[in-house]
Amino acid sequence: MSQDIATIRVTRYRPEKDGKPYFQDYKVPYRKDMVVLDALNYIKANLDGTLTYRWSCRMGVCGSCGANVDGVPKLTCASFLHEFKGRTIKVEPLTHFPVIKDLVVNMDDFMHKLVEIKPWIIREKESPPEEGEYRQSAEELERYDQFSSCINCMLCYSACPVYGLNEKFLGPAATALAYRYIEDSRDQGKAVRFPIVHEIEGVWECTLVGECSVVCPKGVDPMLAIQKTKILGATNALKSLVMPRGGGK
Amino acid sequence: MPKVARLHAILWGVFSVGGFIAAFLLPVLIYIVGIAYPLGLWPISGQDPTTSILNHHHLGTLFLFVTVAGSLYHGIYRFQSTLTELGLARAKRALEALGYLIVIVGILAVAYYLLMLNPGVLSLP
Repeated sequence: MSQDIATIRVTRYRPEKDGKPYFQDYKVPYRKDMVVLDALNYIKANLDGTLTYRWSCRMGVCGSCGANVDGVPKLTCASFLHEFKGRTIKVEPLTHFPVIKDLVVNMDDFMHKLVEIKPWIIREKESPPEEGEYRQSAEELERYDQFSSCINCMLCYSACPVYGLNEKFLGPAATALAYRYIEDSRDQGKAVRFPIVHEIEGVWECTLVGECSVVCPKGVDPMLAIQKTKILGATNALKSLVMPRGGGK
Repeated sequence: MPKVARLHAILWGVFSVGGFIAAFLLPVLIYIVGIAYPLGLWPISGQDPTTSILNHHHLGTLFLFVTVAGSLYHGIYRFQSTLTELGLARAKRALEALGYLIVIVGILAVAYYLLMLNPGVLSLP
């Protein structure tokens, strides 16, 4: 197989040494089947062992290798080098997150939001296993299925200008996951989740830019989840206005 | 403890309905008043479309009010979103206040205009 040479321009930032981030270029030989993550691994193994980045599965499942590739949030394991032939490929850390080192960002805010929406099935009363499963029809599964495909790669947060302006905004992935449980017929946790997604910094901050859905590598549509959550919130608020006792629950 | 922002939810609901109105009813109004009438395609001779709509039925008055008021409210809400996206945190409040002032004056003006043209609407049905 023939080899070309790609120029990879990577953001370097070592807080203990560097005052601010800077770019460093590396020449990487590549074949047609190689991706940006392969190039980073090549650099780490052969050119510069100090380069730091996250990765794990190398197959678009773990969601840990996200970076801005050529200015767009992407999984580096799903970005083929030959697609950038003849151009310098710029690899930067995901925007809107503090950088710990090189391409590694601090995920604390995102992890906190994920836990906040309680991403598990909430039951008012747990049935013992002897009573059997909580059964669900194919139609009931269909209502939330796509939102359960999120791999928590945070590309949607990096693409969201509203999160960039207000980090208190709950954001795309956390809302999509919350909606996944709100729509799950087995879940009984709406009363717990609604105050989280329907507070001021919840879905109402979203201005419908839609980049979250564009960059999602798993075909999840967080913008749709946010819109549907907004409709639920507006309907409940109107119900509580019309029927103050018992409406809007 | 997080708390449901009910007012935000209701305002978003009005914005959403306003968007529906702006998308479906406003083009109809623009076509009737801005295209069909000037080009002589309006079928009722000797009467402009607004007067025809108002004279025909009280629902015509409601159609005109809902179309203009809904579109104005939708516009200001979308304008707010644009200010957020542009990151104009400092100027946002002043521009929002100005926008809402324009919308309120616009809605009151259209209500006044419609009532002047069709005072019978107050004695519904």
